[in-house]
Amino acid sequence: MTLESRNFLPVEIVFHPSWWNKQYGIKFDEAFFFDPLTRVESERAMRAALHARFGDPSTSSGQVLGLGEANAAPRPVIGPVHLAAGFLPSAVLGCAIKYYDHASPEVIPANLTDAQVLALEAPDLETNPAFRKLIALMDSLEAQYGKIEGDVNWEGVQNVALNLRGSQLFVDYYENPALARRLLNVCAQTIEAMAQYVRRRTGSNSVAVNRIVGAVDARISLHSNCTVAMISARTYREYLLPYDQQLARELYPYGIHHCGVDMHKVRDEYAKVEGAEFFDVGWGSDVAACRAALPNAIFSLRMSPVRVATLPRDDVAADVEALLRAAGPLERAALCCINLDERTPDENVRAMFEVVERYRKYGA
Amino acid sequence: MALLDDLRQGVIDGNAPGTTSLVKQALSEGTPAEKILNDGLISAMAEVGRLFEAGEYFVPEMLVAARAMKGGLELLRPALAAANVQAIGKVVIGTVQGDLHDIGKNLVAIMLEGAGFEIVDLGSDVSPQKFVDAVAAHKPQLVGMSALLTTTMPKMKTTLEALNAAGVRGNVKVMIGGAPVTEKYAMDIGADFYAPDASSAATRAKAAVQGR
Repeated sequence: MTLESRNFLPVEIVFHPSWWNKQYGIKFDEAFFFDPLTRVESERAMRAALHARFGDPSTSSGQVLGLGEANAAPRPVIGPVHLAAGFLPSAVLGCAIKYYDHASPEVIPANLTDAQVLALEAPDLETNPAFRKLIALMDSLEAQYGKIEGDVNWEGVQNVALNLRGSQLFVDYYENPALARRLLNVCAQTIEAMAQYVRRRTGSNSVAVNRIVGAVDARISLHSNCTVAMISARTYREYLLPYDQQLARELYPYGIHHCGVDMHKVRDEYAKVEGAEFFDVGWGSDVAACRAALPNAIFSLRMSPVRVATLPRDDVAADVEALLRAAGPLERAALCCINLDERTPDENVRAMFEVVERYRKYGA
Repeated sequence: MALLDDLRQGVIDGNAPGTTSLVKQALSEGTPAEKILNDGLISAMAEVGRLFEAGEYFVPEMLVAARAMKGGLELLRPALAAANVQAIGKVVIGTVQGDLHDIGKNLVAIMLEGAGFEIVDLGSDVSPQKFVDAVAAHKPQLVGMSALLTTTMPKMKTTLEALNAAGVRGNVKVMIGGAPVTEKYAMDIGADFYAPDASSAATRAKAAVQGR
């Protein structure tokens, strides 16, 4: 185990597109993701906005949270790193994408038939129309700036398979296992190829999945297991564990994003993923049980964005305390909250950081 | 009755061919359709719901059990109609406007049907007007709304307002659910009740129509 965090107890927050759209007029249309000028200016504006609101000591609150960037300059960031938006692998494999001004892009389920699954192949990324949009963006930014940085959310094997096959995938697990495995294979091959391509060109592939990755070790490849919350540990073990093990070998250093409420359900299975040293631990998961099974992993502890948006400040602080007390060694912990929407009071965000700052200074 | 026990287990195990075969056999042996429905199919789905709440069954297990249940129910329909067996209630259900997520809504529909309700499934991305039109056309006792996104949740309130404006709100109980939805939100917007998962949705829906 070699993964060590660059920073002690890092904290990251990500606002929902609706917050950005309402507060700052940023639109999340296709240009936001793929037009070079819009891409760069949007990221710059987001960094500047975060700093003005949460990072400038001259603001009325006087509290510096360190978010955003002072005097934010244009940077060649290829994918949104202040947003949760996974859609590209599904698009590469044929799903249509719907863009919104105030929401992340939505993958339109393809509902593939048996025959379509049998005909599906992992594409050549260099010629795939959806991926070519990203390549064109990367080439344009690299030509202008001499480098590129950042990455794109590469979803996850079952996440993508569900976008392609719908809930029929779950029935396939019981009634057509070979078909299910064929689809999962294609998804895994595509995801691995995309992650390798992006990391080869920018040096990272998962800051867009969770910004904590950038604060811990930008090399981490973080696989999204969001939909594992819908299946049993046995189904995960039978169908998906082999892909996590394979991807961990190919993409090391490796992590697993489990934003569901039940990471403890599969903690013993996750312990079998050799090379998985970073975990996004979903709100509601039994953190202590997960820590017992994964004693050396770095845990990115996820807060509930609904609770941070709707509860009193003190309750938000109490949520942070509870997570940190259960986390085990604080040098192997981080805190995040993703998709805070327009209902979120700034003071609740500050409450999160205040608790963390106290733990940084004084320990548990 | 051993046959109904086997039928019940067939549904729980998600054995669709076995279930339809046993339904056929039970009917041919003269077992009343309502008994097959209640002691076989509905009893099985209640157990599936219990296993889901206990964290032993998950979405795949519920879906294959539902397929088995639906296969048996299709065979029973003519006999149920002939015996004038009524559903315990009718539910209009859908995911709200702007939201394409339907797995949660589908699971609720499965459990409601398994509990004896007749389901009118409007699908996903359902406008408030479409809910209103469905209530007028089908005259359900219950309306179920699902939302998976905080940005689409407000459409639940909009739909309630549309039902009110159309003068049909008082004719139905409204149940809401979905990942960002809470009990408090349900009360704040004027829904009748909230269900955190598919199994409890069926339980609460039954209580609602039976006046408990």
